[in-house]
Amino acid sequence: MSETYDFLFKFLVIGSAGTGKSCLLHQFIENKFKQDSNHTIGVEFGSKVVNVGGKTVKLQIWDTAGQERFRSVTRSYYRGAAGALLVYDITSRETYNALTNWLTDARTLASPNIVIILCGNKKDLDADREVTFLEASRFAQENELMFLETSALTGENVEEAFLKCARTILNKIESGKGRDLGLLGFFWGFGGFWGGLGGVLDGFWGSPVP
Amino acid sequence: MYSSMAPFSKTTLDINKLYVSSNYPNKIPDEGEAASEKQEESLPSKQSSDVSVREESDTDPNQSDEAEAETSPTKSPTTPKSIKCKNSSDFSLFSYNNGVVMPSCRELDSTRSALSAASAFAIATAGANEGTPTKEKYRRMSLASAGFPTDQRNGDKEFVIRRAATNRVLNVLRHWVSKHSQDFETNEELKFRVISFLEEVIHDPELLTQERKAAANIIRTLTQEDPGDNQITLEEVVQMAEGVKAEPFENHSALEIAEQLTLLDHLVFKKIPYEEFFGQGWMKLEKNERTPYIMKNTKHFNDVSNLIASEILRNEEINARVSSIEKWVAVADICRCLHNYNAVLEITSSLNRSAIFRLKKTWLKVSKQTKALIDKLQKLVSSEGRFKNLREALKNCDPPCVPYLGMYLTDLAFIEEGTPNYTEDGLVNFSKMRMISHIIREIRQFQQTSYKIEHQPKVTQYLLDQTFVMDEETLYEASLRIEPKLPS
Repeated sequence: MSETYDFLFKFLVIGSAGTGKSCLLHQFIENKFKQDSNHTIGVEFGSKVVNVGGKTVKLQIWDTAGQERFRSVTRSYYRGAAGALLVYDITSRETYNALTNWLTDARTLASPNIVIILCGNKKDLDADREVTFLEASRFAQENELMFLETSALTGENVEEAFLKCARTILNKIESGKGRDLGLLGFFWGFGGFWGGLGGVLDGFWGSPVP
Repeated sequence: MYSSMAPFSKTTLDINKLYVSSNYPNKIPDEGEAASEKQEESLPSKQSSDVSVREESDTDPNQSDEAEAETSPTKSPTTPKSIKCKNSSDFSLFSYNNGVVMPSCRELDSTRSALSAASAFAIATAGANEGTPTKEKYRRMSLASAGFPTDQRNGDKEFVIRRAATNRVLNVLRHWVSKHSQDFETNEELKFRVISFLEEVIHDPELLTQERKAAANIIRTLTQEDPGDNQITLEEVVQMAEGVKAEPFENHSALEIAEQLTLLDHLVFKKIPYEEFFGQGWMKLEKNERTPYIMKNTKHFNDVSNLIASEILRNEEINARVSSIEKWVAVADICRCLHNYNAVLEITSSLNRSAIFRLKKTWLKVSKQTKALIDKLQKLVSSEGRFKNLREALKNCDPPCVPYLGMYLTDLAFIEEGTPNYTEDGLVNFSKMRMISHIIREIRQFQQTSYKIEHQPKVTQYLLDQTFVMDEETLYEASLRIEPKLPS
């Protein structure tokens, strides 16, 4: 791969089934399968290089859609993630109520400092809304999350959500808090299981593992 | 090519069915993919008949009538009635079809039997039946009839059409019956109708002997008692485990556990009927109704994963935990050799759970070899690069095999959500359907070959015993109790 980038962030897209996580991802990557090509699901699908404040950042987005019920597997995806889009469906209270669980998972299984943006998806279905903007933004505030309402259908706020998250991570790194966050995606790739474990055992995630 | 035909299936159903279910798959190549992958050898025909199978089950009543009309000279001396009643708007479609058929017709001529050429010819001419014959059509007609004995060749268009149509219908049925027997096992009505239709064919004196023979063969396949693999069923295994006090982990060897776990995993996996893979039913609210077997599969996975974590954590003594971990890793490695990638993931993901992963003191005592082995196994089933290592392993492995179902479910979710069912022109998006059928075919391929592992009730009883299995929270509490958090 000849593409160059300054940073690599591992992102997760999490939230209950049916909230449109994959649609968000598809919308963001703009890599919808072309109707007439014999597209198979490429290895690189799910990543995109973006420009954030003059830096090129490769976002590697992990989507567990379809696998949600294999709990112990999906949980292992958290390790090494720098950012997460926590998605609920504004027309489904059930998906909103599940947010606390997802958040706990993310905070305990990823780094506690993982940058999370809450996305109220299906903004286009305002008529069927079951979760108000106000209560969701209050929830976001209480839990120190960023918040946007998105529409994977129209594309509204989709790119913004990813970029906002990436920008925050980058700011943290540049202001020196990056060690906590550890660019985990980066080191994880080299460290593997034991590298990651080493990080845990040392009590912090930031140490790069050879 | 197919995608251009499918949308017309409503109006030209019979013809399309005949066309797409040719048993000369390579003669209607889909340039993009037919040649590239080994298991795709007969891809176009399989895929398209998957589709035609669906169509047929919807239109079955007409199907037999039409076929009868086509095969019985008394009823339809000139044109199959289904073709006759086309409205004019259909003809442009047919001329398009003609264009598609042409190249295959040419190829057929050089390599295959005349009958297949005749089939192609029949399709080509059938649609344009009411139009004025063109040079092209005559050219094709002569090509097609070249293989017939002279007495039948004399431009006997009806004869050719009838042969071709019969041939196609029988091919569809043969393919359907042999490749998708599940449909008939679960639908007595369908089975009955197909048999009675074929019996009519057998007793039709107007048909050629070989055609009647072919029909008889299909009936034989259809009525054959499933010889079965004499394999124990999941229900039997579960039943034998009920109410029995299971022997502890120590009483079973790693090999026994690996084998019996593999037997169990495959029994659970192979039960999933293919229609559960359509439309992401497992992600819907009514998932338990729509996809009960996928749900059972994931539950089984989680149960085993919980069992492993519980087994490790119920040892208060550190060395016992270490040996428990080492034994499970040995089980995982045997499972890898048995091509049970599902179990490799069940085990490695258990070790990755926070309750186990955080046991710093325990991990320090785990041997280097075991850690290296875990690393290797984890790489194999890692989701990185969309499971590229696991995909590679699956590609190179001969069944029997238990793949990790979650990988396929994610693939299906991606395809379903990222690709529209219809193209911008309102046509069925065949690329998408092909991708889906691809995945389902791969799953089925692994479902069909069973393991020859002898069932050992005492081991499966242990594996299915949930009495000491803890849930997520209890596991974490147990973990904290065994190795309390260090003050930071």
